[in-house]
Amino acid sequence: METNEKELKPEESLQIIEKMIQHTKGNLHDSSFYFLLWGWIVLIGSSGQIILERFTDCNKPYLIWLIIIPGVIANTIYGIRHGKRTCVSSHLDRLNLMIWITFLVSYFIVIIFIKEFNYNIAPVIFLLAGNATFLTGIVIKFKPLIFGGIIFWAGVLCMYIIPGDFAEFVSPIVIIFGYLIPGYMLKSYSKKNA
Amino acid sequence: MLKKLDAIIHSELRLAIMSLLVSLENAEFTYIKEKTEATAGNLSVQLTKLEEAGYITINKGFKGKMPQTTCIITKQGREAFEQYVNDLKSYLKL
Repeated sequence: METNEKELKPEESLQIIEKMIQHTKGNLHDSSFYFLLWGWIVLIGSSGQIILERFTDCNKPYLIWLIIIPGVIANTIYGIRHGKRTCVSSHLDRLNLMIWITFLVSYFIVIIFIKEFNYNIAPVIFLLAGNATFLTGIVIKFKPLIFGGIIFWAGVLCMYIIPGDFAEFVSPIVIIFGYLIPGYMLKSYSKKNA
Repeated sequence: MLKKLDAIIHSELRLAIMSLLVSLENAEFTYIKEKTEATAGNLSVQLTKLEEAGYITINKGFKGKMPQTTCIITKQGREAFEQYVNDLKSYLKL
């Protein structure tokens, strides 16, 4: 843009508006890091608990979920660093952030009242994670995440339909297909379009 | 009779700035400079004009040790831009 007071024709104005709005498209930030981080944490947690329960004498297999603590630390450090590097934020970025804040708030409410759920919160968490994943997929127009959300919902149905012992294998499968694979696809897509 | 286009927005660079900011939550000076391909001096002047008109707010701060200027479109700016687009449509008979 050379001069600031150049007389513009209406057609030129329209072209400028189109060009600038086009520039802001595809500004959505790559959020694959979070999908991969939490995908791996939940996968290690859920499959680790199954292994510890079935193949060891460990009497506190749920302690494997302490892995969430370094996850939160990594998530926070990455979020702060990434935020510092970012020089633009779109409305969709904000919407996406709000979707996951909604998930986190709901998650903590469920955790607080975990006793009321008879400690069986996996279906509720998966339902919430499915909603957030599906909505993120819609917001960023990325089909693998939309399917990921649907896989979470299907996983919740399976948890109730599939009998006893097999139900616990649903979690790792859902995490792999609902979170990790879409996460890697998003990472690859973001790299290609960087 | 056709309405006169808003003179504050109806300039090449200011229109480009407004078009960018209307689609974004906020944008840094460096980002706007890159997308509009304007010089830093010219961009500063035009941003100040938009700020004086109440169309944008400019926040100056630091990102680490580096100075950082962030621009956000105001409610008034958004309404003015929408009005400008509507006026433009009547000019173009869209």
